[in-house]
Amino acid sequence: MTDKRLTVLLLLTLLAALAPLSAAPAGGGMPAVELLDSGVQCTPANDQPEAVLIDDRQRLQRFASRLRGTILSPSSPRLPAIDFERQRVLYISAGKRPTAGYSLTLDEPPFTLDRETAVLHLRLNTPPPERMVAAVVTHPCILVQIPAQGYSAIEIRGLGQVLELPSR
Amino acid sequence: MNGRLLLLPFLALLLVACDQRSSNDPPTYGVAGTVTSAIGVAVDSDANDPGAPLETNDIPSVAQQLPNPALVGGFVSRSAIGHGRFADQGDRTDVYQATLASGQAITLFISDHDPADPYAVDLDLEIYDTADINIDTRPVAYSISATSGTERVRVPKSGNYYIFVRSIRGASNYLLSIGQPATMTAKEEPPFVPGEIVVRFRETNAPMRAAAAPELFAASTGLVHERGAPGQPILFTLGNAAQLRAASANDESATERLKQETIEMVRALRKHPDVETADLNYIRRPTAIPDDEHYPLQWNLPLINLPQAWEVTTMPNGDARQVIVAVVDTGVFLAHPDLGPNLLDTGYDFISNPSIAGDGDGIDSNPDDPGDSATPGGSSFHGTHVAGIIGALTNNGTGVSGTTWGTGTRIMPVRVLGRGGGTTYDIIQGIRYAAGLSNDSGTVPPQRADIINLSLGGPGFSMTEQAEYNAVREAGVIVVAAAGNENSNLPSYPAAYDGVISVSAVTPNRQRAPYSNFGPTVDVAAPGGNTAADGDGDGYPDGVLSTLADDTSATRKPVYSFAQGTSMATPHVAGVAAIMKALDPTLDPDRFTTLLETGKLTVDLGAPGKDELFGYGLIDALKAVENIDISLPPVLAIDQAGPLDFGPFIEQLIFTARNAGGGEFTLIEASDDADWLQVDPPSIAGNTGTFTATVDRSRLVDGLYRATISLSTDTAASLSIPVTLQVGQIHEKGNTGHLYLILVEPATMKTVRTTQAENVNGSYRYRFDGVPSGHYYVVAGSDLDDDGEICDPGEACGGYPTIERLQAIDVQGETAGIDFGTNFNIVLQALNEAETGTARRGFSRITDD
Repeated sequence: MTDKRLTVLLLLTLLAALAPLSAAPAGGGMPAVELLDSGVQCTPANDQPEAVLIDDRQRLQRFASRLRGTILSPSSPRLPAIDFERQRVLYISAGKRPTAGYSLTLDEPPFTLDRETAVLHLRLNTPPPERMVAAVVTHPCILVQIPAQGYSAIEIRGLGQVLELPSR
Repeated sequence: MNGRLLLLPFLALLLVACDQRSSNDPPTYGVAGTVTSAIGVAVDSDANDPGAPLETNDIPSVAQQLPNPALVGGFVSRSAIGHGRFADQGDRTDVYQATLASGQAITLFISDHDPADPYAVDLDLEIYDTADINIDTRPVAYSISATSGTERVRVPKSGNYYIFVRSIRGASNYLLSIGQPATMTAKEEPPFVPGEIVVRFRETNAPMRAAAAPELFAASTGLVHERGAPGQPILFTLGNAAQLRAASANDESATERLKQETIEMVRALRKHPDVETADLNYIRRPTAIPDDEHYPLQWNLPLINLPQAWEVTTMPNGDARQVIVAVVDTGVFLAHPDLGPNLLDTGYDFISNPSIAGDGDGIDSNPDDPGDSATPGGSSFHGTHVAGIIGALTNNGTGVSGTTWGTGTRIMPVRVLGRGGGTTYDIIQGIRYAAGLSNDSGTVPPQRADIINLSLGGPGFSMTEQAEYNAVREAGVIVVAAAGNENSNLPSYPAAYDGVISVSAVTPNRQRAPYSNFGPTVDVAAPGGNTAADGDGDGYPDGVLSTLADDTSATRKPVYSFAQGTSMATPHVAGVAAIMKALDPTLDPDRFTTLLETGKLTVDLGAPGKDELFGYGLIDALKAVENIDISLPPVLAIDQAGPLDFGPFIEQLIFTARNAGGGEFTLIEASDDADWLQVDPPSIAGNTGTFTATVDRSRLVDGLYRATISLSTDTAASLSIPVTLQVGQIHEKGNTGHLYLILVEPATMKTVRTTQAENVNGSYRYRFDGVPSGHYYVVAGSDLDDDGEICDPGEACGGYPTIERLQAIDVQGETAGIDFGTNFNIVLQALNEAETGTARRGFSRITDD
């Protein structure tokens, strides 16, 4: 078999694998896209929205602790069992918000594929404009479990800006 | 034959003559031994003693390296002092370099500080980051008191630092102590009233002399008699009325000139034959430090001088009237143990929409906060945090401290914010209820709130709302609200309504918090925090720490958390208002506003007077207390700010407790809770007691130790003084510098023999020759200031077998093995001299013959 033929075969195999994901939200045999945890007073690395792809348990521990980072002597976060061969975790911060009432949740559908880019759809819940709100600065954030494979880049939408990440 | 051979007969004759003379004199012997430096000590490499080795350390490029921890003896002089190495020019600055840990205290003991003449010598202490030093660099921490005998800074972050010791005025030995990781409070220059002098006359047999006639004395000295009669302290003012007026009008240069004139007059009066004592009229700032576990992390409380105000609020026999602050917010986690007893059961839940309320119903009498999010871990428990800032249980050994310690303040939880916030209608119902006005609940609390805290806001103005806030104010309730966190000058309501106190936020360094709103409606600033920073290097974000709930799991758990916002600033103002109300029940919104607008409740920040960033300035609990017209009972206070810190070397400290209030008390007891600490019974003079605390490290392993000294009196509140002690693990060999060794005749204490020795690997070998038989003390010490005496304050000192218990050696032949140690002993010697008059200055290093 020539090299050219081998390349074509590999591409066909890859396209075959990606096609179901492109046509529909992730699911079926794929690892579930799941909101693992959320917080509103997350320890900020900066005031802007940010996303971090987590591919080992040590980093997961570190970023999970950010969700309760302002609590004095918080209990260790209970980490879900993540198979990092098949799964990744995204830490996503909405950045600094001026009041209470902000939170991040998964939109519907939460996860799609656009060619080789995985797209995580979030919703930044904001306090209704007519409401009075607590004047405390917040940093909402979430941990989301996503599949580990099937894409080469990640986009996170719904934060008022699109965050882009390589797949590793 | 050369010249040398011609000398031989003469030398032979000389030797014979010497031998014949020595055979007629008493025999003499050698005395030898080894002096060992205490470990961890070092000496300034450019002291004034010309006999000591010289390595200049005047600038950072030649900074002297120090170990950590360390105790350094040194000398600086502002100008030429006429003798020694710096006879013709000053040695203004010594620069050291050391690797320091976050939180470590650097303390400078100014050896020649004289409490009776505190302006004679002034040394300052500064530290700079070595990675960021140039001509424009500002120190990362400094202590520049003009009149204190000590300067102290705390290391903000671990790193490499230059440590500057500067002479601002005069010349002095000093001791620089590095390596006490205790939390310290920076000492401020003791403030005094410019133009005022307190005089006590001598008892005299001539009753018509000045002692009986203050007016005559005033006329003869150019002073003005203000208050007091013979037999008591008498208050005089300088006669310069124009300067007094200028100083009272906040003219800084006039104030400074008046201060200097006042000091000069005090010095002159001390020489007056009729004057027993003449002193500045110091403004005493007593402190009360609660024992709550997390108090050291609550930078926000000392920032507004609450410890000083608490000294008044925690006094016994205070007004027991209950002050109520309504926290109109998300409700409160009622089961939080650090709040419980301070929460009233007269709160209410005014959230009318069940979907916002999240508790399954509309308005009800239960203000418990179930959370404002359906997602576990997603709730703010904002009202719980706000309530803790005002009224957390304080001095209960756990959790955090609240601003209203000692006042009997209670929190009325009123729930108006739920999921996504709250409506103005519900909030109006909440404030009307708190103010005792009719509302949708059909009831009012048995006692209305005195203060309403609104750490909430929104952009919309409403005439209806304005009218409601007018009604609440007319009911006598002080309303305080958050200016908002949008970093904007757009008004946020209700803070921007007329009659509502609008609060902006500051960071620990008194800068406007980066999120804080500003603008013409801001009335006052308070600590709001900045969780993105850790400026004090305590390992925690610089947010405001308070009570909270954590609902990550199925049930709410009480926790403590840092937060930032004008939400956090607002309850500081509400708390200060509650303190004022507790001390003066007649306080109403109009008087509070008047006091605020006349600068009586704030330290001015930003542009003079009211400005758009800070309003009238940073709220100040001490000024608030001082400007409430009350008659104070006796208040027990100590001058020491922060803990008694023995560090790694100090064995004894002296502190003074006094009555900072009115009336009288008798100091009756001092106790402590550590077996390595001993507090001797005080010597009492009037309402002042002087205590000596001594530590014993001999049975302690390396580590940091803490204890508490408790003082109690018959009439005033007890006072707890934290004590810290380090037993160091030190690997460096010490160097107490160039030493003079002397033999002292015990009967006369005269120096009869001297020699010198240099440090070699931490020890000094010495030998006296030609010592006649007899008894001698052997003493060693440095003479950093080249005044001819060793063992002065700030200089190394040691003796055989110890300097504290000298024993005479009996020399009847060659004597060796007279070994002992030297150290820089930090007893607060200047204080010791002032208080007891017993401290000796040193030993002459010059023989009398």
